[in-house]
Amino acid sequence: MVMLSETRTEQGTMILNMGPQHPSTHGVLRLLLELDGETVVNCMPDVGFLHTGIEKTMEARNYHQAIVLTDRTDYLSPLSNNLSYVLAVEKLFGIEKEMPARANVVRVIMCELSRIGSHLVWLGTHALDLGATTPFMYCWREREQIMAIMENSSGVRMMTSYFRIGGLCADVPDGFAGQVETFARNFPKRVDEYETLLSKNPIFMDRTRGVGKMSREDALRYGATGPVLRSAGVQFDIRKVYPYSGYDEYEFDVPFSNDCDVYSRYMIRIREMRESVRIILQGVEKLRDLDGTPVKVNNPRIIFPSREKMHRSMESLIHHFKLVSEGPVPPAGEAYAVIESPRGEQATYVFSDGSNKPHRVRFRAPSFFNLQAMPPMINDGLVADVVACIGSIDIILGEIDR
Amino acid sequence: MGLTGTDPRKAPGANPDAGRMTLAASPEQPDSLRPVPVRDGGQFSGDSGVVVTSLNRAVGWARANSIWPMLFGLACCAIEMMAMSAVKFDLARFGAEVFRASPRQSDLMIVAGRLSKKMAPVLRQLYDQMPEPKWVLSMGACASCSGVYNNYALVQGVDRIVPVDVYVPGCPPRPESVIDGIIKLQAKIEGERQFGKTNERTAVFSGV
Amino acid sequence: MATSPAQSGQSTPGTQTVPGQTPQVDAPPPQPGHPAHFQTLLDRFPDATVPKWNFADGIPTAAVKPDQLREVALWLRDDASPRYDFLAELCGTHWPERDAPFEITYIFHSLERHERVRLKCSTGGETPTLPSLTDVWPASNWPEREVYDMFGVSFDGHPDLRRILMPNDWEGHPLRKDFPLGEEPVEFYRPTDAGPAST
Repeated sequence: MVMLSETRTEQGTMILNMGPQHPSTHGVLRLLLELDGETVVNCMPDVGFLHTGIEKTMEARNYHQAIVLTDRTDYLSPLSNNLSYVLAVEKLFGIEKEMPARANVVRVIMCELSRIGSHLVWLGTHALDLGATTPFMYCWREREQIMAIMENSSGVRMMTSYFRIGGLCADVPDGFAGQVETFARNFPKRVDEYETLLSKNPIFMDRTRGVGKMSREDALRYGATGPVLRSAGVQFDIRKVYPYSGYDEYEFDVPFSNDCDVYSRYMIRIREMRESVRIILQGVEKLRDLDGTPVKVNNPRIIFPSREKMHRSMESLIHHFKLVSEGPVPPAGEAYAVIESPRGEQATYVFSDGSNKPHRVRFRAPSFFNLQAMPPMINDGLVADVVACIGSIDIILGEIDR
Repeated sequence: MGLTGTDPRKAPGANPDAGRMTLAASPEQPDSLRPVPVRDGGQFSGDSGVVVTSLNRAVGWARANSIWPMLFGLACCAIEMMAMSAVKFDLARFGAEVFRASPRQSDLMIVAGRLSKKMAPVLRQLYDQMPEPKWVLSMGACASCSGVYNNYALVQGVDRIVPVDVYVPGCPPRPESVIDGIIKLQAKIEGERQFGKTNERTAVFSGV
Repeated sequence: MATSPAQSGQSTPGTQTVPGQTPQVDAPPPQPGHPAHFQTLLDRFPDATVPKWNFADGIPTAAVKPDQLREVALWLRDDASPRYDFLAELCGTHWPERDAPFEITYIFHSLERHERVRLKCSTGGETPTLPSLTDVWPASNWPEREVYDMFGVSFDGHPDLRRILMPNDWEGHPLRKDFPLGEEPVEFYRPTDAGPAST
């Protein structure tokens, strides 16, 4: 830990320590703010307080076991991380083009639900930091509906690990399409409620308009992606640029803005929630058309045999045993699978040496780069603006520190 | 306990572990929802009369029903902790009205999430800054025993750093599990003795 | 795979065209095997080689020597065609059996036609060192600190090379293969390095 022996520098500025335990840092982030009165002259983030050694632990698990660990990096949209990891391993196996359509549709629906869930937490906590306590309660009310959907399909509210290499863990239960559609049809009214509370609220606008401005060049130079980059006028969304899991078959818009301040990032995420609803409704229609089709790819080197077969046939039993104990073994190589998580470009980079355990798994965390881009945003702002900026970047320390 | 000074645990034929809370569940144990208060044994500073006993219970009731947790969400469990305080699971009806950001104003530290070795000194410092009486609830598998991460980066359970009163397993535990943990903590607090002998801290498992 | 609607010359559906965007120019036909944007890199830097490895994601990859790394990075930013706009990834890997065991990977993205290129740079020895790209690509600041922290590779010219994820007084570099996982023995649990299932 960087210990401060003096809090007053030679220039007469003061160094203020914000975090790692702080209500507004959204996790264990430590910020060292150099202040000249109330104005922030410099800001140095200090991360690593949540370093878990996930990447090293994944090297000690086989490819199948490692899926469980991927949820815990970006824990607000765990299904996105599952997806980028299984996409990378599927690329290594070379089966990415053979994914069954139903599996892709469910993946898209789940990822968009995760995106809405993550944006709801962002909105609730961001508004709470700026003093608005009501949106927090409203957002969690909707999030509980999403958790109920997740729990019905995978059994777990948050760390679902629902995707598998080659498809899904299991097919969605009966009534899934109806449940998702009910949620999606009601959700735009809720977003209207949030907008009624915040979008034209003079206090909110005073605290967010013109705050945390970052130029397009700065955003690109620091590697920021996601809503931060889109608020600077760059239309870059992985779902449009490098479509995965069939995203090119869905009609949706990618909101962007040229203002690059906290308010524009807020508007972008609100609109992204609406666009996610559009995608989900299209996905539900596709899901109904694909009733009864398989959700796992037909590849015995990767997919477990069904339990009925395993109970009856010796070969299936041996097959099952081999896959459980040793796990799937992809050929040697490397694959960088990139997806659009709620925070930006999230990728899993899997290096395989031909054994049953990954040689190296690297998570390209969007928050890592976005947080790096934060000091130019904050400089010459006030301390209160720091809180607004951190909220607008929407960081997750789990994926920054891994 | 009488004034004669006889330790019932040392009486011939007595079970020396009578009244002591153990972590292993056994059929002989009384109802595990209400932990049995630690009985006096050995030297004790005086008898607890009727007045002091009622005062104990009143203060215990007041403390148990107004626990103010500290905002100490580390990782994923923090999200479920926030869900617990939100509309569907509403922790406020159990007395945890506000989550205080400052350790000076809080009673309960819910360690929600994995504790890395870099964060461990901070945790200890925050625990030390909390005024007595204070309790610690270890939420989730990572806080209790480092969960899925048996590696170089994590402290293998926060009980290596701070004394824990309630462990809540899960990854992350459902909000209802954590509320169950808080209810067990409330029962434990009500059973504590504030006047007289100091309490022996024994931990409780939330079984959900 | 970089198959996107943007490559076919039409504007990406669902976004507004930014006024002043340069139209598609007819590029010379790519040589068989390498996309055009990558071939220009290989032509400009003949010392850059294409590693014989299974790059299952389809991003074209070139291996450059450490002394040429800065020049290539600068060229990618300023003079390449297409120009590369941001650094998408910088990460390290440890291959202990190689002569230069520490392999650092850089992935650059160009917004013009949404194309990517990957560079690999390997180093080894007692104190593995690479030139830092912080002044050319400021996005590499923190990832280089992370590579230093996790692998022990130093970056010449980095303004603030210190540990980022581990505590400042930590000894060792955790993601190296010779650094143990640090498991503590747990009753009734077989550690990962024992047993028939762990190859």
